[in-house]
Amino acid sequence: MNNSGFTDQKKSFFGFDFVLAVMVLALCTVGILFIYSSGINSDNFQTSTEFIKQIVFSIIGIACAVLVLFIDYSRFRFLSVYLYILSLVVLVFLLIFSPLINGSRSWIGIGGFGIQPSELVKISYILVFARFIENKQKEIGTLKVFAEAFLLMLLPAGLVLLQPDLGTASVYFALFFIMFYFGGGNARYIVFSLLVVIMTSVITVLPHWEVLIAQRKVPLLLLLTDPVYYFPFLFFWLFVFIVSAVGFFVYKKSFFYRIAYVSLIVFISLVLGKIGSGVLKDYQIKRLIVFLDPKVDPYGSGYHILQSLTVIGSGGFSGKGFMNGTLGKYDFLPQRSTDFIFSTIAEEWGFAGCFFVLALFGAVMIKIILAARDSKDIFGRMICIGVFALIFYHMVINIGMTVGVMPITGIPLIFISYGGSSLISSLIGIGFVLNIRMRRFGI
Amino acid sequence: MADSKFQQQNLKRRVAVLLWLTGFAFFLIITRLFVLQIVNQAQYQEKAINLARREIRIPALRGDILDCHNELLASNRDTFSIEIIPADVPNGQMEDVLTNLSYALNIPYRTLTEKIPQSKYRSYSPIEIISGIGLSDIVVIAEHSDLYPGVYWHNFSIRNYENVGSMFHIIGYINKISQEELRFLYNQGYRGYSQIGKSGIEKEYDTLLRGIDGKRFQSVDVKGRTIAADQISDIPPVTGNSLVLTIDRRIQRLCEDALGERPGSVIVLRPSTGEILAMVSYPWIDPNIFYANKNHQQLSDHYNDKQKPFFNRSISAVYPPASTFKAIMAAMILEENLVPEDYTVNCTGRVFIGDRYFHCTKQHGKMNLKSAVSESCNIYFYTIAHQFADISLISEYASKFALGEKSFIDLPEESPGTLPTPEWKLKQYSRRWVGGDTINMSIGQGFLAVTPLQMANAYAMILNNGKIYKPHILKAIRDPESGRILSEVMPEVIHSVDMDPSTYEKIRRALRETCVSGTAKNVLTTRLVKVAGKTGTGQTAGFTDNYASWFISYAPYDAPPEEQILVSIVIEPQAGTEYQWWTPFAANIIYQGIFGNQDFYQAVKALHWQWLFPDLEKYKNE
Repeated sequence: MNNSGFTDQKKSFFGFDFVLAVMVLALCTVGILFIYSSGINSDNFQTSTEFIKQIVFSIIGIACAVLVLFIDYSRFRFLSVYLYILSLVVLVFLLIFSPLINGSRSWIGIGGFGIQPSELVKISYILVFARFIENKQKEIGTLKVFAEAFLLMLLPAGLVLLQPDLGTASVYFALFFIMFYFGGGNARYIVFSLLVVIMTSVITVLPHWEVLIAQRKVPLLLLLTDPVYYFPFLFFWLFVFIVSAVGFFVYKKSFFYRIAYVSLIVFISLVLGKIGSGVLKDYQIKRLIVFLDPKVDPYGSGYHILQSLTVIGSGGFSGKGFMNGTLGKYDFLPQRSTDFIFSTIAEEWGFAGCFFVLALFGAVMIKIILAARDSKDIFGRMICIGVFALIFYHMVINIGMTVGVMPITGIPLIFISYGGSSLISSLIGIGFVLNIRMRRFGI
Repeated sequence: MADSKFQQQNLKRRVAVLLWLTGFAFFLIITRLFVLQIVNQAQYQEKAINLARREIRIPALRGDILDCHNELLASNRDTFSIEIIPADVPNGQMEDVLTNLSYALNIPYRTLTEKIPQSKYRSYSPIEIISGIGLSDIVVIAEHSDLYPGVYWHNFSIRNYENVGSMFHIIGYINKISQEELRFLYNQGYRGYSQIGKSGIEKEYDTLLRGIDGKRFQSVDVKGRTIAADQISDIPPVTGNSLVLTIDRRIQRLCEDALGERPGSVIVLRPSTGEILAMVSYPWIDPNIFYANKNHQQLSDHYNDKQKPFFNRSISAVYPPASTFKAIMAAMILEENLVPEDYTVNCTGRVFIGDRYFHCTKQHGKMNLKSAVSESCNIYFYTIAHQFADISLISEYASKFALGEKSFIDLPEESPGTLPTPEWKLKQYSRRWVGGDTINMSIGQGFLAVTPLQMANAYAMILNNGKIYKPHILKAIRDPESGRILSEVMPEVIHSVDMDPSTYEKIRRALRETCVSGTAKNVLTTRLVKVAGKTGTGQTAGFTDNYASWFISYAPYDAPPEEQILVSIVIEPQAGTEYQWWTPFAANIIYQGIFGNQDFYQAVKALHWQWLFPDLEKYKNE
């Protein structure tokens, strides 16, 4: 407490993580380069102004990050609650007033520009959840705290889901699991809810999988599709749960606990999966699972994946050269500046270029984890982990989608894909990490 | 705020887990990329080339069809089709685009939404909206292309038939190949997208007409837009051959008008070569309804029409030859010398043979061969057949005149007719041949069934002294570019019988007598040529109340066969209607028109027959 203001500033300045900042800017630059490249048509004319917009977005994002940098992140402890409430209000507002664009209500128009608040809400959620974990540190392992934390996530996630934007909603789940795990949450509850989420997803898509991918009758699936089997099956698990729960309370044997644990997971998943099958439209589920075998619908939902695979595969080791990608240029690759920008990189820079980009991402993530480790307080640490989770999830899902191993969810490649809201909010996230790292020595 | 030691350890562990998680994810992604980009690189690069370099079919133009004066009958016409690639329509604008299209093309909005349901909005496969529309509709859309994002049009040529009228049965029509046809014809280069002749000349000579499709190899984008214009190895299409027909459009029109709206057939044949100058089968349809602005209602009306407009009566329909068969009977009597020429039979209007009476049209009195033919006396032929001949002899002579066999005219779906024998009847009806059957056959009734073309050929044989030339529609094949004649169809004898030439001469005289003093007297009033021929009226097998009314004739009577023209007319009138005696009237107009070089209107005027046609003025050509 004897540091003067000046030395504090100086220390903070030297604590600034130049390497992280430069690597993030490098990723943004790669993004701008390839947005430029994908706007070039076959006659070498630039047909799109997206790259200029992306430069503007980057500058705005950097300005926001710098702004964040100069405010001690501790102040956001207090602000985070209000930001969170504001976020929820905005999301509700969106559901009511926003026009339907791309099949979902996620845009707010301001003048000629539109922003997607759900991107910025991610940051406010990270802040509020970080504060929540810090506050509840003593009782973090209890079911009560887990339930509260889950509800805290479900509010924004549910509102985004209603837009409907399944991909963005799934980001909140990812943030929740990674942050709560790192914050010391009880593995028992995390594994439980994680298994429910996974099993629910599987049960939701299984009937469609049977029709679209397997294209044959799978008798076992009658348990899910035919009410004659489904309800007895459902109540069987409920019965098993009740019996084993009673058994556990009477005999206190962990054996009963485990059975109750598993049977409850199955029961809840069966119920939610049935609801999910009913709520989601056929074509939505089709898009989610078509990556399992895109050839079943080569001109419909499987089109993007097949084209993307061809584009990536044809890049080879060293690629066709910057701005020399033939397929991207000739319009064979849809959304090549947004969701599928990684395919363009893979085509023009090849395996080597992909490796370079991935290495940048990896280094950025490691830097963020280190910032989390070295943070002087739990609030800062959890913010860093939140930003890490954000980058990790976006990167894995997006690249996984372009290489055909993940569902098509419309999640952009963070820092690189064209899109202002996503870029600005992720740069703000980086601003927080730099902020935390800069002030890691405590006051 | 310092963490306890326990917490520090815990932190280390969690950091390690996250690092491992990250490392694992990277490992998977890089492995996948390695497989895609290094291991399977060649496969994807080839696929990429195939994606961008597309083989585009350049459809060959179908050959023209011309009449014998080289007037165009069938050609190709440019038309357009419009399609939508739904994924190219910006999000949320599909409704607007469809509304605009519906307005511009005058298609109900509902039809469009049925073609493009919401589930296809993300589809990249083009959906055809309409085809067969003209340039003017395209101009409307092209000028406001900003209103129609995702809407594309293609230019292609369709078949166009120029005023062919009753030539539908001769020329036929083309349409998309059916699965059935494709199975047989795949090895001959037909593909699922091929158009193929479905009837008539279009079907018969499809291989000559279709030409050879060309190929263009080019780099295209996903919308099929050409990117690279390097046409290194274009294979140009080869236009199909032009076919010149023996049909004379002028005579065809004359016969069409002379037949009028009476179900039946007219064949005009040059007996010395087998050339078909005209061939009308009523009812007929306009083949253009298959292409420009397809009218499905009209098409299905035609398919369901009880009068079968798709049916070429001239070669596919069979009728009893009735009294026209008497010429063949006469040949038998003369050639076999069954009775002397001047042997007479007294016709009392009826005759009792076996167990029943057979009737004649009237009491003719004493009849010899010549008068029996020209007056068409049944009793004469009943008696001779009963007393001097049997079914095998009659059948033998019928087959000498090529009845019961196909003429192999170059049109599809020719019927061979029926030449009955006792064995045939036993097989078909499980009944024995009886004397009455022979009697019926002697006047061309009963089981005997012939096509109008067969009967025309039988009479051509009388003119050619025992030879039948293969009837044909194709006259010559021309090169589509230079117009040079590649090959010409030469007359070909398909049937030849050795009989005494005087037999034919005697029949010809009897046929002339028919038009002078016999059943067709006072009708053939044309002064331009002398006509000879034979009438006939008979029950159509199977339809007890249907009659076939015949007039087979030729002119000029006294000219050598090279200058003669044979006209065979059949009408299917309902019993007792005015149509029954129409055939010689039609023939008279046709001869007047052909030899006077007049159209129908002029011919009727020249014959002073305006009283027959109260609405004659509508046929006037000027």
